[in-house]
Amino acid sequence: MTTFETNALELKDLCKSYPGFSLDHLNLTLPSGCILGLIGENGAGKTTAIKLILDIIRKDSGTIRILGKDCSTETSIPKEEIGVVMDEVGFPECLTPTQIGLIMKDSFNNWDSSLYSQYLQTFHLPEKKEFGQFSKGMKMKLGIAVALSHHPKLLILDEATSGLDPVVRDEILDIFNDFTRDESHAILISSHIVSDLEKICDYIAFLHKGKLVLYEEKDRLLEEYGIIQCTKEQLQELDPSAIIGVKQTSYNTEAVILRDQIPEGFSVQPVSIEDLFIFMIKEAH
Amino acid sequence: MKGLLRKDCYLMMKYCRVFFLAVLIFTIVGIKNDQVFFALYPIVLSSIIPVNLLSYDEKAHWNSYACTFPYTRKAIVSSKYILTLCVLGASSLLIIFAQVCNMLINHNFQLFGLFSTFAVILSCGLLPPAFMFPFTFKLGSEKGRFAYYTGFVLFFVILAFFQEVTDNLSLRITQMAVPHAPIVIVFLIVFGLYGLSWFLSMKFYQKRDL
Repeated sequence: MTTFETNALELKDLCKSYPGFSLDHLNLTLPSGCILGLIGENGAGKTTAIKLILDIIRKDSGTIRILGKDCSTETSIPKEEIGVVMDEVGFPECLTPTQIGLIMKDSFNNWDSSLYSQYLQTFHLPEKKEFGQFSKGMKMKLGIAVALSHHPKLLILDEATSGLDPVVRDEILDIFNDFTRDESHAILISSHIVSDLEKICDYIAFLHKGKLVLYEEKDRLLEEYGIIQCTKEQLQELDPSAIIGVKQTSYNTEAVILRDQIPEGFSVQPVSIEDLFIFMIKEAH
Repeated sequence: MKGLLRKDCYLMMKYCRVFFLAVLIFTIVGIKNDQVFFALYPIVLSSIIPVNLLSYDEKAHWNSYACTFPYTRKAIVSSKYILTLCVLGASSLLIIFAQVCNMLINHNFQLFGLFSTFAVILSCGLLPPAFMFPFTFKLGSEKGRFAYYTGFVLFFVILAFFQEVTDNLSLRITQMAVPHAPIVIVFLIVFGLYGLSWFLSMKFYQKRDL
């Protein structure tokens, strides 16, 4: 009988300080079989959090558990089981996909050359062309092919869909969705394209200036929050604790609210994750 | 580490062909000419190859990307030291082969002279990277390159000093009036320095935020 780790990723009180910025006691849990979307404006700390998980930068304090293993030292991180796509795919420019495949075969015990070739064909990547001659989208697709071709259990994606056209993004998101059909797999994905995250994520985490502002199941967020259009006077009648964020326009006032704290009579519309994020961040500012 | 070495081999084949060609040309010229320059210059050229590879890695942001693969930072550092040893070792053997040819042509074959030559040129080749690598792994390839050229200049200052103080220091390899025992000692010291450099680089790189 196969047992799966309950959580693919656990971050507890993760801290990292730089002059002018600090990631402040970040607590996140990614259950196995799920996709967690990390949203934040530029400089919110998304890439910092991902780099801390991968030990690319050193944490000041806190604990990280990946696939049930305590990752207090570099050698304890199960990198064989993690597929990573960073916002910049860092292969030297002169390497071709064929050469990269051979390098990865020497690097990963579980490297699957035939699966890699399949992804190269699916993504229409020329095998003998130098990496430096690829477009941004092609580079990202190659990074995704490499990340998937060693049968990882956890995918960590930092802006992995940026630079891709909508058709390819849709294909890639389907691949990510299929990846988590296996209950032992999980994905942590950060992106500015909130609509992509809304399509596939099970959990959403909002980061703002190094702090976790919100962490919730996506479906629950969409049930809990709504958007109303009203006048300023109507807004003032509402309980302030029910109002998450407000946007004033020339014609009316829009507000993201907690549905169960709004009296009847208000027409509450569904709110998208993107709108929820924008309103929350504007309110935080 | 095999993947890291393979990656560097691909980069060498693409970016360092001119260096290999220059090493070959100077080595071939050295067959007919036993001036120490024709032994030292190829080894100096060879020692620039790892410097170049580090720059290409940094340009591609490979260092942080490599941390997402199952390599430890120790392995990333060690691959560079091993590659440098292999490149310099191969260049040294090529130079020795040319010197053997030279000696045979001049009917002047000296086995101990050859060992001394091998020890001297390999020591000269190992010193600049041994000096440079800890700076590179601690501060980045730009500062490391500065340290490399500083070590390089220091080496020639020392060589010029030896020429000043030693009247009969010939620049002909077969006539180098340097006893073999000190050469062996210097060779062992340089190897020890290379080992110390390796250890320091691993320590620095493990602590560095990439």
